[in-house]
Amino acid sequence: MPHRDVDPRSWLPLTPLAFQALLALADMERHGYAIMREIESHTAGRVRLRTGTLYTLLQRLLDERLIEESDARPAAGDDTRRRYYALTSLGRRVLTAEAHRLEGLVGAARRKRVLGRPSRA
Amino acid sequence: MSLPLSVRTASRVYRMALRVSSGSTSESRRADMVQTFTDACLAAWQRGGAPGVFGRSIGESWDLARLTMRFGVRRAAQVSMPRAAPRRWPRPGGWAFTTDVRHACRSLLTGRADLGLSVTLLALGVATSSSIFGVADALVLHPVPFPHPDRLVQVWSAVPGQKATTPVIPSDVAQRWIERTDLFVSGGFSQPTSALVTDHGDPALIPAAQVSPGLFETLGVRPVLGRSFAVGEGRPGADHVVILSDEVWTERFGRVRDVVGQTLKVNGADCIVIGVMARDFRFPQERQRLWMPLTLDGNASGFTFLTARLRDGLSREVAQAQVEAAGPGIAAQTRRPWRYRGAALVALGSWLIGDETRRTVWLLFGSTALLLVMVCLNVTNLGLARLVERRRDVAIRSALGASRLRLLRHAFIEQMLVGLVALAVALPLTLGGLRLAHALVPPGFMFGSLHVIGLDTRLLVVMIGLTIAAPLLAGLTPALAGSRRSVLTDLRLESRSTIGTGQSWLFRQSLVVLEVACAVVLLVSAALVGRSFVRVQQVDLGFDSRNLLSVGLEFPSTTFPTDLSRDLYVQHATGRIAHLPGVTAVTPATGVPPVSGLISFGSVVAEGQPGRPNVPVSGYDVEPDFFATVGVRLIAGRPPAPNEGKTHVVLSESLATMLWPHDTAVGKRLRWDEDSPVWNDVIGVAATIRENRDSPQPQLQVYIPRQHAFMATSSPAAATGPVSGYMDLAVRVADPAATVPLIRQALRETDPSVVVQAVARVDDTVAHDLDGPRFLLALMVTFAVAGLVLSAAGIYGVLSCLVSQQLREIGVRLMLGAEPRAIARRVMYGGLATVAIGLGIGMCVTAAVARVLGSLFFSVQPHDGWSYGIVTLMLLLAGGASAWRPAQRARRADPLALLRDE
Repeated sequence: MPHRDVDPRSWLPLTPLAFQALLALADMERHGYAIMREIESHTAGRVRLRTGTLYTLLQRLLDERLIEESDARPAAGDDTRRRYYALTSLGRRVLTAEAHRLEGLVGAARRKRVLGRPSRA
Repeated sequence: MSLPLSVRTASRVYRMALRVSSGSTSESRRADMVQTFTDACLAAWQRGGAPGVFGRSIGESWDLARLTMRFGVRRAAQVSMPRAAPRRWPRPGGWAFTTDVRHACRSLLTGRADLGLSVTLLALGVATSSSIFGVADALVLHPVPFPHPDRLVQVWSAVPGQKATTPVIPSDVAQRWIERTDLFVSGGFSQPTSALVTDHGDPALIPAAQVSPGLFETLGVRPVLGRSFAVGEGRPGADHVVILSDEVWTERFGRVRDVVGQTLKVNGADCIVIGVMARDFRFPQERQRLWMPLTLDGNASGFTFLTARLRDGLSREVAQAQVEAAGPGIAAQTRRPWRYRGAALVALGSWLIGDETRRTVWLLFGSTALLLVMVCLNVTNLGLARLVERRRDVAIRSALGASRLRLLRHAFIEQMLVGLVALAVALPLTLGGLRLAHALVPPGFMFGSLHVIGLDTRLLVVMIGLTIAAPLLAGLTPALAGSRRSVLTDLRLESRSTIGTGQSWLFRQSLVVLEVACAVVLLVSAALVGRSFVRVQQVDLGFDSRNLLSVGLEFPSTTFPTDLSRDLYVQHATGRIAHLPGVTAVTPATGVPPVSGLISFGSVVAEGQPGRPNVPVSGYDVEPDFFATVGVRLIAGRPPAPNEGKTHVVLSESLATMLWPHDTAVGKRLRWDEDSPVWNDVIGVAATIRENRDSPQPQLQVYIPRQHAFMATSSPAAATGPVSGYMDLAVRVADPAATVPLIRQALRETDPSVVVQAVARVDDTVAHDLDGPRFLLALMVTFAVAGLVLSAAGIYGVLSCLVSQQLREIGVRLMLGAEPRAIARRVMYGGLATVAIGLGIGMCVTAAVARVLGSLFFSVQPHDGWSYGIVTLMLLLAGGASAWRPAQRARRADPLALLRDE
């Protein structure tokens, strides 16, 4: 797999699912099912990932080095078959870049009164 | 926390599915996925219980299938939006096959109607072929389902120098054959009998057999529970053991696992159950359901069947010669008066299935094979039609660099997928077909068959082979045709090659011609079988079966040990029955037509003529009123008088004509053996009774005045068995349904210990005699109708495609002034011409085949003009009907609309 440019903007725009997956890992490491639950919670149940799709996406993110596997175990006695995932620094920068991009889009929408009166900076 | 069962089960299945679908994924990754799946299912279980788990599992399964086939998951799992550089999927080497499978699935799904039709046709064709193969395998190909059946033989008794044989040998010398270790590895004896079982359920007389220790081992079978008989069991004092069939185990013991060691009261004695045989085990015939031990020594009386396994390396021919050489020496040691002083070796099972049954089964087998060929031809035509629609797609792929091999591989994978789907559909259809065959195959076909019709490994292999071979053969032709096409020709939009090339069109038409030819064979065969069936029904039975009942009686040895006791019972019973309301007449006899009496295979010597050896004659011991009661017409002479001697006999017309073709038989004399000093006087000639209506050979009967109360029992072992004798009563009644219960009651009141085997309506028996021909006719008609429909569908498909492809030419012709009716006629004639060519080829093939199968047709010539004429008419009508709609479509074509669309 050829190395990507480290400029996080080269990954943009992220697909919605990729963004959701990175967002789920933004605050803490999580295992597969927890990522599923987090995405479902973020989207108010509109996006429900199945195991196969999730892990194909996670494999993709691993290949792009946006996430990595973590050896940390939040709770003692946790099932060792579960693997935890965490954002890499590159992944965090990509996530931030995408969040800024989306923020810019939302701001443009507000200025055009699509979302109501623009907030004063 | 312990997981619920539904979650555990779902996780196990998901783990197995993962292993199959994503073999390249690491074990740790799979474990992680399984854990995630389990967590999701557990949450679903907490919300909705087992149904929730089921729903989640379905969703996950679909997701996994999409993942495997790469349907839609690629897009869902992308990191960046499409404008970014496309990502390559991480895939191990050799992924081209999966790509081909994915493309094949997509291309098949684009033509769902064609796919559904192909799968349906293939599944029906394979299921029908497999079901009939199952019947043929059980009845003809492998009637003996034991290991190495070709090494299993029976020793029969024979009259030296003659063809007369009997399947039994004297019991007192039977052991001497087993001791011939130069001939046999092992052997055993069997004697069919009956077992009166009186506990663990209602009392019943169950068909049973006494078998010697070592016989099951000779056959190569063993009980599924318990053990077989041990050496020494069967001797007096050690014979109270029994082996159950699966049916008796189910009916009387409820299939409890600890049945071994329990007792069963058999023939009044408590017997210990020592084993249970497998569900499909049958021996020595299809009827036996219970086995008891048998040991024979030099003092044994009666007769027995001997089954043995040939020594390794000894050929059947050499063994036959050695048995024939040793036979007289061994037979001479028997103390029984026995005319069969020789021996013969017979393959086990070879005599159990008659030649007629074999020919019938082969006819069905051939018909099914023809039907399958027609299915393949139809699917091939469908494939060629699809090829026309997809020619641009194939051309583009070729232009982009796809090699011919790649195109062929794609087509191969497509056909394999079609075959797999057809197999999944065919499997339950075949199981249903086998159950139907088991229920519908007449008992006469199954008698003696040791192989139960069912789905076994051989049949499964045949099925898988058919479902792979059939679509491959059907799809190979279009694939080869498609891969050879000219790329430029197909890419040119203005190309006017209608169905590709003239060669391709001719090829499709020839496929339809072949279909029609196959349909001709099926239809003519069905017509001949149908006319044969009608002729059989018109055969004069030789007696009056209307309102005639046959009552079969068995006398237990314990209560009827002597002839006198049985004679007294018969007198009292017939006296009671004669006074019942609705009873016109009653008479005892050793057989009620159409059932045979005692059949002898000896010489018949007419006075002044040379003896005729090996003449099968059915003998009835009768009272003087037998002929009037049963309705057998006396052609000449008179019936026997009361108390007349047994040497004053009445012959059937067939026997009388055989012995004295140009003279009356009344007053003549005959002997039943060349060595016999007793001459019999012929006092009358009766109409021939047709015991088997569809048999071309005349049946021969003789009626002997009844001297003793009972015939000797038909079972070789009955002298020492539970039954001391049999007798039949013929009862003429006004209302059979109302009289049967009265007869049973009268017999019970006479003596309740006599076993009433059956009270049957003779006209039902007569009707059942035609079960075989009726079964054959039903199947042949089904195949013929299916063949007609397939060929009509083939004609319709080809003509429809032709019209579709030629619409432009039709439009041009119409613009140039052609009559629409002329266009329609041209299409019709095309269809009828196809039918005519197919008819010609089919008639030639049918004429050849019919000659071979001529013996199956009763009183119908293989070249019966009516049958051929009717079939010709049917096919022409079907062809015309199939061509009608395409012709109308061509006639109604709007030339302006067609040319505007161009």
